[in-house]
Amino acid sequence: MRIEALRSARRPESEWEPFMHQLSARMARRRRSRVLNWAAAAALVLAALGGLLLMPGPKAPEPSLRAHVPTLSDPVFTPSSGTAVAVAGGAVVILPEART
Amino acid sequence: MTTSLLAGLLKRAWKGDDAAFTALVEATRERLFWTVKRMVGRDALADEILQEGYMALWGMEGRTPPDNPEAWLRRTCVNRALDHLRREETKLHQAGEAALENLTAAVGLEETMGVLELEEALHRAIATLPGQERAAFVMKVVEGLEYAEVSAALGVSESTVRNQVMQARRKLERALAALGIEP
Repeated sequence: MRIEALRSARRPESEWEPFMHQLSARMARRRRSRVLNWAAAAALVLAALGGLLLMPGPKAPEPSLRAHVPTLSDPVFTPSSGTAVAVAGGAVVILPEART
Repeated sequence: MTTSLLAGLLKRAWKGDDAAFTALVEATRERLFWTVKRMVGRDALADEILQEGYMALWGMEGRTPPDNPEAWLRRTCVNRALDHLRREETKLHQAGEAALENLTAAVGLEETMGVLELEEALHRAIATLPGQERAAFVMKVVEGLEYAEVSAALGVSESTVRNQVMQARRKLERALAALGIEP
């Protein structure tokens, strides 16, 4: 078939020049975008690490409220004479000096 | 250039040697261009498909290099060309048939046609073939590749390629006969 004659076709070198130029430009663009992607990823990792370092540690547990319930034997403060003191169970005790 | 030389150039290119990649492109571009151009019919589109193929090969850095970079490029470019043809199939097919009818009316018999017109008629006739048949025919008959190479490029068995080439030949013979050209 005559079609085999087409096999000898060659493209002139001048037509390959813009092709090669465009290919080089694409490679350069891909390189730049790779560098930018790496920089962005590195910045993200650094920011994440920095956030971890600045994060406040766990809070100390608050003391139990029960420990602060005052009793006569263990008042929260030392009462002066005539001071009403609330104790556990809701009872109010007036110290003797307060009655006079 | 041998397969191992091309593989060596590719490894150097992946290490940042742009001159090696340029040498690889220069050693393979002509055959790939004509294969793709005869499939898609346009220089600019063939250039774009080739560029995408070369960029894909260059961007594979860090993966296992293909044993035969040219075969890898051919498969990639032919697949991209086929994807394009699938999208444009109906339009191109109709355009090809219309072009053949116009050519028949305008030119008539083979004796009145020059070499350039004959080539043009062949190109137009090839453009009427369905994508897979066109790819198989271009690579086997026009480019002179082995059935095994065409089979690797298209990802189908050799017997399928033989069948596609035979079908393409029959269709082309009919199309050329309609132009008064003895195949």
